[in-house]
Amino acid sequence: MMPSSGRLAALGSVPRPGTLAPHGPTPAADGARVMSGGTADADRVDVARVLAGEVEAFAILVDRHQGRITSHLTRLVGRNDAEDLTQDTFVRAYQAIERFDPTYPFRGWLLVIASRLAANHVAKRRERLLGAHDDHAVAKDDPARQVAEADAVDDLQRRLDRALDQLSPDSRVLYELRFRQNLSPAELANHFDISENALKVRVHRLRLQLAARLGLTLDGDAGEAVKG
Amino acid sequence: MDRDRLLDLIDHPAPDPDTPRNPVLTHQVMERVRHAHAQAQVTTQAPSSDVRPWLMGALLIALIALVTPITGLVSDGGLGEAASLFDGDLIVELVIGSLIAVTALALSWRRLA
Repeated sequence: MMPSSGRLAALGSVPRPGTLAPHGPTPAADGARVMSGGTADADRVDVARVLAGEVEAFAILVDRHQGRITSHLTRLVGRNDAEDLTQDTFVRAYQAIERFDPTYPFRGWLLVIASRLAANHVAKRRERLLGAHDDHAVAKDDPARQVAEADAVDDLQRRLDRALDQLSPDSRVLYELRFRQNLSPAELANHFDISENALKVRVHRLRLQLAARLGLTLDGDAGEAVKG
Repeated sequence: MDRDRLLDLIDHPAPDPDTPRNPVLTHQVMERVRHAHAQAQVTTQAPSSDVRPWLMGALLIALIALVTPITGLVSDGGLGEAASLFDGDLIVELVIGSLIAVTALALSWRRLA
């Protein structure tokens, strides 16, 4: 099995008391997005079986997690390419499974692998289609953007989605992992091999950048939002 | 109001529902995984584990073949006279010794391959 490596530019959030709500849903508020201990335990058992040589046990992991990986990739690269990248994600995961750290959830590890593939895919697509500097034009034709537009339920959501589309691939990926997939800073820092503080700083910068694109200004010290 | 909602949306984007399980995707993944597994098995079954005795043996033969003429030379005449005794016979012995060494290494290399 071949180990794989990949480090995305990491972003971090800096929760401060009395400021914006904690980044990402709390487990109590959104339990559906939090993996149960049972699922995490089942993942560890199945990973151990794969490491012991039971290749077919990997199919259980694929079945269990493909839905989340595909939906995550759909948001990043669009429906057309999501399934292909989902396949690539699982194959890469199998090849690198000896490097999986069972301290962290298996799903988070998969999401990071998928995200790296997505970032590379988007970067290559942008270069191929219209060149690296024409991000606005690319964003208009971006399948992922079209998906987001179609699914947006109101104008605010659409505004957010447009702002997200304008992020660099790495920044977009990190936003999705941190805020939509709710990977913890510790988990992300581990996967990206950076310190947790460094990750938090970059997530904070990401939030500032996103807020600015939406016409808002975040006061860094007070952590409060003021209209820009 | 919009500002607060936007800020809330930044920190709490709407989750996407999981895509329904696709058994075809699982099948395609496992095909590739099995292929990767088979490739890995071929690599690990390469004769790397039984190379060492052969390689060590070849190196030992090479060393003996090269050292023997010199050792004999030194024991006969001492180091001080080694240069003067570096004659045609010695050269022949050294060449033969080198050929034995190279042959031993070549045979072990073929075994590796």
